[in-house]
Amino acid sequence: MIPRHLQITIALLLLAVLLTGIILIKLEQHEKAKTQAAELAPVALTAESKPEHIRILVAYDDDQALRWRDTDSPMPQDRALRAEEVLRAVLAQYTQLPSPHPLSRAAEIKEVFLVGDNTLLVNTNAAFADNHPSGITPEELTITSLIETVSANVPGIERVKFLVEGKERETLAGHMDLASFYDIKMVHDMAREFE
Amino acid sequence: MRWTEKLKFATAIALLCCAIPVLRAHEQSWYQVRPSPATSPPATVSPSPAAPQNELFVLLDPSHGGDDKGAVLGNHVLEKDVTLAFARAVRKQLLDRGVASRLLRDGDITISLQRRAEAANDPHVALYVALHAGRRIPGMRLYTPVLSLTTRDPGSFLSWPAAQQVSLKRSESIAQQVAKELGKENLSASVLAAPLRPLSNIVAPAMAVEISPEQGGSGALLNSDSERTPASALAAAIAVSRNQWSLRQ
Repeated sequence: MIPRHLQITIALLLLAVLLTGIILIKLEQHEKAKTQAAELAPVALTAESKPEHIRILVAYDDDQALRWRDTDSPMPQDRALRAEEVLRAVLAQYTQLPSPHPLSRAAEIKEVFLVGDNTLLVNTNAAFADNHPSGITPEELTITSLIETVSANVPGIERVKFLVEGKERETLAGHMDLASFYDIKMVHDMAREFE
Repeated sequence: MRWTEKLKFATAIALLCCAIPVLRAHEQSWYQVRPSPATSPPATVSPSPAAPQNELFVLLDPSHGGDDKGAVLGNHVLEKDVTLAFARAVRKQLLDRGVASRLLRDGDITISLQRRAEAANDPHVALYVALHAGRRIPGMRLYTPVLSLTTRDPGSFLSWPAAQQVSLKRSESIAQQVAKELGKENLSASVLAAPLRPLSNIVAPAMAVEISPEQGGSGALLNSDSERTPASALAAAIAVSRNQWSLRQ
């Protein structure tokens, strides 16, 4: 027969373990809900955005060239948001008709992350890569125009990597490498080939 | 029930209660470490045997193939078909000039970029030439690999993304010589640098050649018997640059 005081102790211990388990599960659910809410919260772009004169490098399929265009756009001060805005400005040139370098109308820059001070991760949607015209030159024009535009408008970026729906992909459309980081200096050399 | 049995039962319940939250917390990471189907080993590749076992040879890689159609070059012409036909024509011309060569694929099959690089890293491969086709290309374009500064490996071991590092200078030099020789055949050729897969993963000298079936029509481009075609011009240029690529690593 178990002594009564031992029975009470075991019962209390069991109760404590059960309560701890329940509290841990509740805490985990609370953290998940907080994270999801933060991800879904709209970014206040316009609050800090000021209209600015920016330069974007646009690809032209007809003569396989890259040319700078000037445009005015509200630009945030935050560097990651600024990069996102200029990338979207370039992509808009390709997704609207008529376009000098037509890409799928569904192509999007989903988000941009700044890692450290100098590395940019650009997350695109699936349509950007899946529907991109295949070929060395069209793919090179797209990549070069996007990276050169970021480099011209967001100082201090030294390397860029593209993700598709948050995942690494080997190539953009069968040719240009998407698995590696693009050094800005390397892209400057690539851009010179299309001057 | 005896008190010892009750104690065992209580301990088991307590352990179970502790285990549930821990298992839930780690559930995500279990999924993450599972290998995805994309990273599983692809089907085997057998470069077409045309050279003796121990001889150095030029590996011609007709890019794309199978499910990977490559670019659509107009009028239902697919890049994968043009590259294969062109590779066969170049191989015939190389053999006529006494240059041992093999095709990485000699049919319409899907080969991953990783598998292509693995095949190209055979120690007998003296020169890897990836063949591509594009639209409205003036003449022929030769692409040399570009290595990201961050993938360059200063150590004794070559990293997979920077395997080309040991041969990069030779790749550039060979491409320049091939372009010069093509010029002598009255075929304009420009040498460009681009980060194309799988060039950066290959230890041997490597380059990509882009042609356009619109140049003189696809028939003229692919005809392996004609004296003056892009295939014969490329084969002649590769044969002339033999002194640069036939050196063992």
